[in-house]
Amino acid sequence: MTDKLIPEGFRTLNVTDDFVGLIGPLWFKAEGERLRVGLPLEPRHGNPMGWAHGGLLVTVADMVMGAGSAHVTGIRWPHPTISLSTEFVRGAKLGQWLEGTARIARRTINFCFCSCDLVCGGEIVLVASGVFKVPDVGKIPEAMRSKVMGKWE
Amino acid sequence: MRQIVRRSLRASGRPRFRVVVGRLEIDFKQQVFHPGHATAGARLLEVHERKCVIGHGLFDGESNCTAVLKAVMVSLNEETRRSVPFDPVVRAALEKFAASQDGLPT
Repeated sequence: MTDKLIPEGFRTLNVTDDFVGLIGPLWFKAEGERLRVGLPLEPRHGNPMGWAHGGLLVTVADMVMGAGSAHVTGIRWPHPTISLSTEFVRGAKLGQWLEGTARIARRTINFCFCSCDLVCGGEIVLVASGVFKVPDVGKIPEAMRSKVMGKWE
Repeated sequence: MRQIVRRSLRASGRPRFRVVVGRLEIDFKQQVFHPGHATAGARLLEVHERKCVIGHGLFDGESNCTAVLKAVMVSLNEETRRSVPFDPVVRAALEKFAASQDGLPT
């Protein structure tokens, strides 16, 4: 049932993150410099009131901006979160597609300054901003380095 | 935190109240690694007409602070799904928590 919610052209986002595996998989679609990331909201994502759990929304926003930073830097390796602010605008209904795209306000050698809106059912449900650390390429294991360089296609 | 406040209100026959998270601000101080364990602490910082602010700290197994968080909790009317002022009795109880030195009921 949830497969029908996934928009055309989206593919599974492969991240080496066991925690994200608990809520995902997440799905992505690269459009030039933009990386759209989303997931279909299932009953397992709900809170006691029957809406998407706030912790899920924060996790997705964190991943939207983290993966969005990786897409911009061209280093598909974790960009650790330094700070994260989120505003819960309205509830997100289960059984709908949830999606966000990172906006990178500035990228320095060490940090990406990001924001994103999470949209569900055509309405913004959460707005977020955060600072993400650009990983040191020299510290990525050599065997992995060539595999993680470059943007998502 | 919600449980502490609720238990206190229930014991004295005070009205139930519903709060939802309106805003979160998280600052990550350092990474936490596994295997290991994390401990979280929270206390009420501020009380306003329709919202309260709760501060949280996350600590690793060696008591190093790994993250701090401020959560703005909004008082909610469950029927209308809109914000509503705290009941005066609830607000007085919350203000007592906020004013106490350790954030716990006295």
